[in-house]
Amino acid sequence: MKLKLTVLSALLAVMAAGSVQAETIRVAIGTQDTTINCATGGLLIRELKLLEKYLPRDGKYKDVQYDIQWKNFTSGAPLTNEMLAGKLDLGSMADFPGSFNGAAFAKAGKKSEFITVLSGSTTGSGNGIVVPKDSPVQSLSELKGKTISVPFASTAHGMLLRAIADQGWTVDKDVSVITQAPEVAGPALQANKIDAHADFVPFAELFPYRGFARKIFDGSQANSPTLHGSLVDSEYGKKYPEIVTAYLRAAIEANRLITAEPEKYSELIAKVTGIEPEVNYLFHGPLGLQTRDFTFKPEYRQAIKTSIETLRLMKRTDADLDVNTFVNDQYIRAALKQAGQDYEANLKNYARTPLKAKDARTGKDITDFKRVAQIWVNGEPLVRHYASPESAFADLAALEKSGKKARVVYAQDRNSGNKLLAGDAWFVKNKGEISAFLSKDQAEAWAKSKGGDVLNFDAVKAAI
Amino acid sequence: MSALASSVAVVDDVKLPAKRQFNPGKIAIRLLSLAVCVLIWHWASTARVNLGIVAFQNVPTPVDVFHAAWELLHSSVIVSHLKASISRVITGFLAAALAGIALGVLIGRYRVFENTLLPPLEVLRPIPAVAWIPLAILMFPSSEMSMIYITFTGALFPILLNTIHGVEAVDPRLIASARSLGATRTALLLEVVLPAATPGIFTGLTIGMGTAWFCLVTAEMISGQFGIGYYTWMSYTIQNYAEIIVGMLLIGVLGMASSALVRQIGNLLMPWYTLQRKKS
Amino acid sequence: MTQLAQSSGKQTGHIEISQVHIHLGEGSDRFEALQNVTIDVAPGEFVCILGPSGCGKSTLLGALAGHLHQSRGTIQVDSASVAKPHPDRGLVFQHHTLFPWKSVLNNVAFGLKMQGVPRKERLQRAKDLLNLVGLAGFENRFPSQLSGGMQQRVEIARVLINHPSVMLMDEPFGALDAQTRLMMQQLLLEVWARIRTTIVFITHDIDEALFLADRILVMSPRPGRIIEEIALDFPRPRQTDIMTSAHFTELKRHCLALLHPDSNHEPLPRLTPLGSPPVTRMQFAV
Repeated sequence: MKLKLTVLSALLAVMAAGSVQAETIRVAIGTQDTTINCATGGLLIRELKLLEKYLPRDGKYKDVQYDIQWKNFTSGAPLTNEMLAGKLDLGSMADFPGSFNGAAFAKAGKKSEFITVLSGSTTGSGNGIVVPKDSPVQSLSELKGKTISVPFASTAHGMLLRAIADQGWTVDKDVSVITQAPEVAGPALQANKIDAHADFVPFAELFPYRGFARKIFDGSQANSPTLHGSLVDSEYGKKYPEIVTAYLRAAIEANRLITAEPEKYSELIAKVTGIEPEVNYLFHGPLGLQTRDFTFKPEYRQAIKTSIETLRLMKRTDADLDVNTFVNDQYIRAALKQAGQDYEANLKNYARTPLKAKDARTGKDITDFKRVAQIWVNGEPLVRHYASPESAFADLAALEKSGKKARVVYAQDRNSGNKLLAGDAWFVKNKGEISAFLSKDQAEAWAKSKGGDVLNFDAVKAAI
Repeated sequence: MSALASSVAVVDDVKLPAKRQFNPGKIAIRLLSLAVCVLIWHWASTARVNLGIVAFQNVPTPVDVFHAAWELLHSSVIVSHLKASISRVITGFLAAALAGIALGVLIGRYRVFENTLLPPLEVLRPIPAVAWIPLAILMFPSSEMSMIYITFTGALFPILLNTIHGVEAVDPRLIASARSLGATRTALLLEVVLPAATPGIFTGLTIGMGTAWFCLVTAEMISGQFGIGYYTWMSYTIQNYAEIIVGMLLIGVLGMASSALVRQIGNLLMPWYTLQRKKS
Repeated sequence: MTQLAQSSGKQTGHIEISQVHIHLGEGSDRFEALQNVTIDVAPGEFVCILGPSGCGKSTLLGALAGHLHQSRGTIQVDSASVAKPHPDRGLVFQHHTLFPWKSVLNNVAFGLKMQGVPRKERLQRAKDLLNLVGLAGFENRFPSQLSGGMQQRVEIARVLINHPSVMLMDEPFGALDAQTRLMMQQLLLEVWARIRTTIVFITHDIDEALFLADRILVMSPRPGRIIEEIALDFPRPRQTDIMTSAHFTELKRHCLALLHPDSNHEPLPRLTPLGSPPVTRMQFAV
C-alpha cells in the first residue's frame, strides 16, 4: 500500500512538473517559395534552419517548446486565408495581396500588420510585361486594342493599370485586361494564345529565360514602386514580440548570407523551387533587378497606400485601412538594432546590392556600376564580372573558343541600369562601345541620337 | 372477331396510371427544411460558433450573402457572367453527350470496341479537371475552347458509363425477338438497343449536366473576365467571402436547375418509362 | 380477313430435324442438352413437345428459331437449312418480349416495318390482326398497361403479321392463371384454324398438350431424347368437354407415367431458347 502511494504521488508530481514546464508555442509561417524575392523571409530561413538560432530562450521563454510550422503557397490569397483562419501567424506576400490581407483581418474584427519589406524596387522593377516569343510586338504601345492577361489583384495588376493609364488608354476600351494566373499563363504564352501577359517576380524574366516569351516592358517604366514583405497577426505580435523580432533577425541573417554568396544560394533556391539559378541570381545577385531591403521607404509606403486605394475600387467596399497603422516598423527596428545595423541609415540607402569585384578579363577593379556585365560560365561556381559589355563580349568570344560555354550573360540597361538577360536584349554597337537595352525601340532611339548599329545578342557575338 | 375473342377482351382489365397529385404538403416540408438550414447558418455565423473541429467565426452571415447576391443580380455584368458560363457548360455538355452516347453504344454493344476503346478511357477518367488545365491550354486554339474542353471532361464520363450500362443491360430476349422478326443489324441498334438504353442514357445525361457545372470554376480559372466560376475565383483572390458563397450557391442552383431540365426532357421522351415507374 | 387466310395449295412449314445433338455451356460447364433427336413435322401440323423442366425442349426450339446451333445433325425447314433467325420462323416467349417504348399497334407492325412496308399499310394490317386476337381499342396503349394475357396476345399477333410458315411457342401461357390460360388456348386454336401455320408448342402441362396438339412428342429428362410419340385424334374444333372424357384421362395417365417414372429426380433449372440459364455477372454501380 505504501509503495503504491509513493509511486502514485511520484507520478503525479512528475506530471504536474511536466505540465508547468512544457509550454508549446506555435510559430507558423506562410511562404511563397516560387516568388523568389521572398526568399529571405521564407525559403532561406527554413532551409538553413535560421529561425531556431534566434528564437528566444530566456525570460518568459525559458522552458518553451517551439512548434515551428512552414506552409508554402503559390500566391498571396490562400496564405491570407490561412492567416485569417488562425492557422498561420506570419506570412510573406506583395503589397497588393498584403493590403487585401489587412482589409480581410479588419473585416473580421481583427488586425494584421506589415512588419517588414523583404525585397522591392522603388522604381517598379520585378513586375514586367511579356509577349509570346514569336510575337511581332516590341513595345507596350503596340498592344493597343489587344488583350493583356495578369494575375488578378496582384502587384503586377497594379503596375499594369498604371502603365495603361500612362499610355492614355482606358481599360476595356483601348485594351482588354483579363485574369490569368502565372501557372496558366505559361502554357498560354507557349501556345501563342495570349497577346501579352503581365506578372510579378520572377515570371517576367523566367518565361523569357525558358525561351517561350520576350520581355517588352519593365515595371520601372511605369514608375510604380513594388515590394514584397512580411505580415503578422497583430494579436500574435502583441503576445510574442520577441518571437516576431527573432523571425526578422533570421531574415536579416539570411540576407547577409545571400549577399555574401549569391551564386550558392541561387542554386539552393533553384533546388527547392525548380526556378533556374540564373533567374534567381538576376534578382539576388549584386546589382540585381530588385533590392533586398528591410526598411519602409516612403516609396514603399506609397505603394501600400496605392494598393489600399485600388483595393477599395476592386472590392467595392470602404475597407478603411490606414497605411500608418497598418505598417508597423517597431519589430524591424528592434531586429536591425540587435543585428548591429541602423534602421535610419538603411532607410536612406537607395543603392542596389553592391558589387565589389575585378573585371575578369582585365583584372582591374570595377568602379563604375552603370555598365557592368556578367557571365556565368558552365562549371564555374562564381559569376564573372566585367566593367563593360564590350569587355564581357570579348571574354565571351575567348571562352567559347577555348571550348567553354556560358550559362547566362547579364548586362545592364544603358538607360535604367536594370539588369537584363543579355540573350534577349538589344544592343547598340558604336565602334568599340556596346550598350544594352531591354527593347528594340529603346536601342533604336539610342542609335539615332548617339550613332551606332542596332544588333541582337547573336549579331553582337558575330561582330566581335 | 369471334365471340370468344371479344369476351376475352372484356374480362382482362387495363391498369391506368393514377393522375399526378399536386401535393402542397410535400412542397411545404421541403421549403421548411431549407429555411431551417438557413436559420442554423445564421445562428452559427452570427454567434461565431467554434466547435473545435469546425469553426464558423469567419463564415459570412446569410444577410451578408444576401446583400452580395442582391448586388450581383443588379450589376451590369451579371448577364455577361451568366451568358459566358451557361454557354460553356452547355457546349461542353452537348459535345460530351454526343461523344458519350456514341462511344457508349459502340463499347456496350461490340466487344472489339470494348477492348480497344475502354482501357484508354478508363485511364483518363480519374484525371481531375485541374490537372487538365495546362494541356487544355496547349491543345486548343482558343481559351474558350480550352474551357469548354474542361466542362466536356466533367460531363463525358457519367454519360459514357451510364450509356454502356444501359446498352449492356438490354434484355437479350428483346434482341432475339427483334431478330426473329427480321431486324437487320442497323435496325437492331436504332429500333431496339437505343430505345432500350434510353433510361440509362438519361440517367447519365442528368448526372453529366451536374458534373459539367462542377468543373466550371476550374475551367474558368484558365482565363477570363466573365463567368460565375471566374466571379467566384476572383472573389476568393480578394477575400470577398460573401461573394464567394454567392458564386457557390449560384453554381449550385444553376446546376440543379439544368439537371432537372434534362431529367424532365428525358421524362417527356420516355412516356412508357414514367408510366412503368408510377405503377410500382 | 382474307389476307390472313392461308392461300390454298401452298404447303410450307415442313420441319425436318435429323439426328440433332446440342451441347450448351463452356469448358467444364459444358453439357449435352439434346441427344440424337429426329423429328418430322408436316406443314400446318400442330405439334406439342412435352417434357420435364430442363429436358431441352426450349433448347430445341431455340435451334429451330436459329438462335442456337446444333453440335451435330441437321435442321431444315422446307428443305432449307436453318442458319439464323428469320421472320418465317416466328418465336413466342413465355414472358412477353414486346418493346416497352412502342405502342401495342407499333409493336405488332414491327415485322412489317422491317420488311419496308409503308406506314399506313402496315398500321392497318396491324390493326386488323389486333382485331383478330380481340384487342380492338387497345392499339395506342403501352405494353405495361396491359394484363398478362393481353400482352401474350400482342406477342402472338406480332409474330403472325409476318405470315410465318412456322410458329415456335415456348410455354407461352405458362405464366398465366388457369382461367386465362384456358381462354388463350381456345383463342390460339381459333386463330390457327384460320391461318394454318405449322406450330411447335413447348409445354410441361399435360392437359394443355392433349387439348391443343395433333401430335405430342414426349421428351426424356436431360439429355433430351424423344421417348414417345402420341398421335391425337380428338375432333377439331376442340371443345373443352373432351378434357373430362375417359380417353383423355387415359392418355393423361400414360403421359404422367412417362414424365414421372421415379419421383426422386430433382427438377433441373429451366433452359431458354437462347441457351443455358443466364449466369448473373457482378455489375459494379457507376
